[in-house]
Amino acid sequence: MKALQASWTSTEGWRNLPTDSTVPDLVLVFGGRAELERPDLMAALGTHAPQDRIHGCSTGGEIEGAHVNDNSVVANFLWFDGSRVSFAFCELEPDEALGRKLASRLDHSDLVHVLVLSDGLKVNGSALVRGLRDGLPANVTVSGGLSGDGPAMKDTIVFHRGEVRRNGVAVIGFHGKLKVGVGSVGGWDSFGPARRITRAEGSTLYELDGEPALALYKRYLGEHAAGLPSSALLFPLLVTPREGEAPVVRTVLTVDEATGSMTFAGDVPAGSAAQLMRANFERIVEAGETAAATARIEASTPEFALLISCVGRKWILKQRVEDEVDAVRSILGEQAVTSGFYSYGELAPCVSGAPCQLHNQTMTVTTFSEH
Amino acid sequence: MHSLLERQLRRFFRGDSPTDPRTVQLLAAISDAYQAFDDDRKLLERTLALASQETEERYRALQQDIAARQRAESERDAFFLASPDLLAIFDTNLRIIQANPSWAHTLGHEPSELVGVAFDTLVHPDDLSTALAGAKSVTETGHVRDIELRLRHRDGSWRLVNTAGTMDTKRGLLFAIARDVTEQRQMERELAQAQKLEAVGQLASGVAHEINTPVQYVGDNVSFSSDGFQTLFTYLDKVHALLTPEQKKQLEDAAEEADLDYLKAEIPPSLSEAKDGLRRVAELVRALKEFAHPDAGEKAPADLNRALERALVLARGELKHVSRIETALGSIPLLRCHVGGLSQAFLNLFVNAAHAVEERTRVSGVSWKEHVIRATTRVEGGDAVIAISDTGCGIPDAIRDRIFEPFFTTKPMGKGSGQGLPLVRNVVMAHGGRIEIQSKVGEGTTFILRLPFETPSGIREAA
Ligand SMILES: Nc1ncnc2c1ncn2[C@@H]1O[C@H](COP(=O)(O)OP(=O)(O)O)[C@@H](O)[C@H]1O
Ligand SMILES: [Mg+2]
Repeated sequence: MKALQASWTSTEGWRNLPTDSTVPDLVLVFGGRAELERPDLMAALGTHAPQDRIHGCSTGGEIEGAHVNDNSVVANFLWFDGSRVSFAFCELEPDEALGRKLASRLDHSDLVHVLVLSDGLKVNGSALVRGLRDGLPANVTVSGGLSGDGPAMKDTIVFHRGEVRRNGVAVIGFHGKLKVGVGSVGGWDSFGPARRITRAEGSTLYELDGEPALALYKRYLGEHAAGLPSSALLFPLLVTPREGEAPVVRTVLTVDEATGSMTFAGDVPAGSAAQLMRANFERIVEAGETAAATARIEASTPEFALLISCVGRKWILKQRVEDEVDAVRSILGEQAVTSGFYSYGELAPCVSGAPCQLHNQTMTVTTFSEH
Repeated sequence: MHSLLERQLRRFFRGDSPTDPRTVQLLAAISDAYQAFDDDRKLLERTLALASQETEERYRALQQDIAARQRAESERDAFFLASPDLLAIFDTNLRIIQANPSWAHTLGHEPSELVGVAFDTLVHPDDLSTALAGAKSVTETGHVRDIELRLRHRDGSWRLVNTAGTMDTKRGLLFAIARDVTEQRQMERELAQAQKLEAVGQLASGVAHEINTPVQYVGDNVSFSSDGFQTLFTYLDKVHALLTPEQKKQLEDAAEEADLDYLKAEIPPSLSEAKDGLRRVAELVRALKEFAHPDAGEKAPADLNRALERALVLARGELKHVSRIETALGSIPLLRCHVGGLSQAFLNLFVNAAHAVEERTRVSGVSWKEHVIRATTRVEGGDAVIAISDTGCGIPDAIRDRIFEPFFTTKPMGKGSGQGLPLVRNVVMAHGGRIEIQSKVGEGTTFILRLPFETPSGIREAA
């Protein structure tokens, strides 16, 4: 397996496009939404790879090697030694049917791993994952993320076979002797009183302990309330649906002033225990190391690693955002080409070997290795 | 630009700020970082303040909650401690986990001694199936009520309790409450008995009254006839003496025809027999009347020997052809008493004696002529003592403790109702007296009633 990383910025244009004439098996592209929609930029890619091998999505920030950029494009050209890829796309559906349909459209022979690139704002990520788990053979791992839209949170796109698609989910199947590892860690601390979700529907939260959820968030955000919904990422919600179950971290996608409700990136079932979370710089950065170490269990010296990190982390870390990328890279080693994006939600197993789940606020590392 | 950075620039560059574009960019980044640190710190401080405020509020609410709970708990404790009813919590094996002080007052068991005690060890053997059925029903439905059973008092006696329970299936706890209804049930039974007796009494007094009038005039008429016959025969003798031998001769045939000698000899004794019979009817009627009005009103001085004889009259039906009857009645002063109640008590003892003798005859074939039921009276140490003994079957030790229990009977349906000895006991208690029993299986039984002439204070005046 060989990986080559090219990038485009407004100041420097395309850099490092392949000179090699062998056709890549897969090109993973991440970029600002506006940039991905510029025909000229994509045309340049088209000269180096067949249109139908180009996949990707819009982001809340692009990871290029050790750097994090905004409004740029990063393109990863991948050549496999014998392994192969397959693709599928489906329009959004509200329930598990979506995931099952995607699973059924993929070729299952030698299938090792499925990478999911989803719409970032309208999808019910929990249902998507449940459907995929239903439809895929048990030994197939799943990881991926919800596409982003910078801080705007208005419109996201996915790239499927070189085409811009909205309101849908693209999946890439990896087949053959390829080894894929996944690790996903948050590093946030829960704080304050234990609360209960007293009113909710699907992924929409109305009340915590009888108080409108939005009012509680505004109180904690203070002046940052003006930055809603994105500023709500400062306080993810730790949700434990049933006592004894593994808690999941949920972040806000949209808010509704009229009803005082907030819609999260996944289910927030009524009756769940809930607690606010806040950032702890050191632990957030360390989470990158832990995620990378977990991903290395399956693929110990990866040639390529995909980093999907929550956009909320980027807003917390600000100028220090590259610290977490460094942390991941320090564990993976020099040989690994690292790329990825800041997302509106991550898909990964809680711990390695467990079924895939929707997460928020994590650093999710997927490692690929062919030797 | 961040104010701190501005001050630092002024201090280190003394007015002329750097213009090199890279340095300017770096300074902007540093300013941003300063700002970001400030913002983060502010957010963190705000977060911590709000969280601790919320925690504080919740802590206060929790404390109020706990205080309210403790109050409610101590109020419930007060009920638990003060309840005259027996309260207990059982585990699923019906072992006592906690019992209230009423267990000590009602049953003599200290609550602390009861912990771990299995309920069935306290229940009367005959009520075990009732208790188990109740336990089953409460496990199945969560509730049970109105189960009546006898519980053992520490002193060996039994108390009748009415129980109710509710089950906390989740915790496997049974909450039970029991009320001592021994006296209540006893009173209810006595009342029913009194009502029954009253009805019988009214009937009896009605009958007695109706019989009395004809008995009286039949008696008067018999006396009149007897006197009349006497006069008539005397007159006939005088007339006979005046007749000529011829006339006498003629009349002899007629007299023979009329069997005059026989009439002369037999009419007087037959009329006196009729008188005897009537006297007995009158006696019976009087006994019935007294029986009918047992304890109306105050105690009054009465002759116990007479009461005993009346009871014997009434019991004659049961005693005849069962056993010989012997009485040895000493002279006893009049006793202030409810003579009707005592008559009933004696009557019951005679009937029991008759039944016991019958039973022995049935079992061992002893002829009635060899049996004797003996009633004796005497004065002994300030008491009137009445003893009624029989040569009947005797009372087995096993049931010795139970014979005074209301409705306890060993007799077949129709013959026994188990209400005799309870009545005897009540009557004797109402007179401040005592009952002794001497009995040997296969030999006989003696009931000895001791009734004090001086009623100790504290004894109820009305039975
Ligand atoms: N004189 C006696 N001899 C033997 N047993 C007796 C005698 N008197 C009473 N008992 C026993 O006591 C029981 C209760 O007596 P009682 O209360 O008068 O009820 P009942 O005569 O209707 O059975 C009797 O069933 C009998 O077993
Ligand atoms: Mg009797």
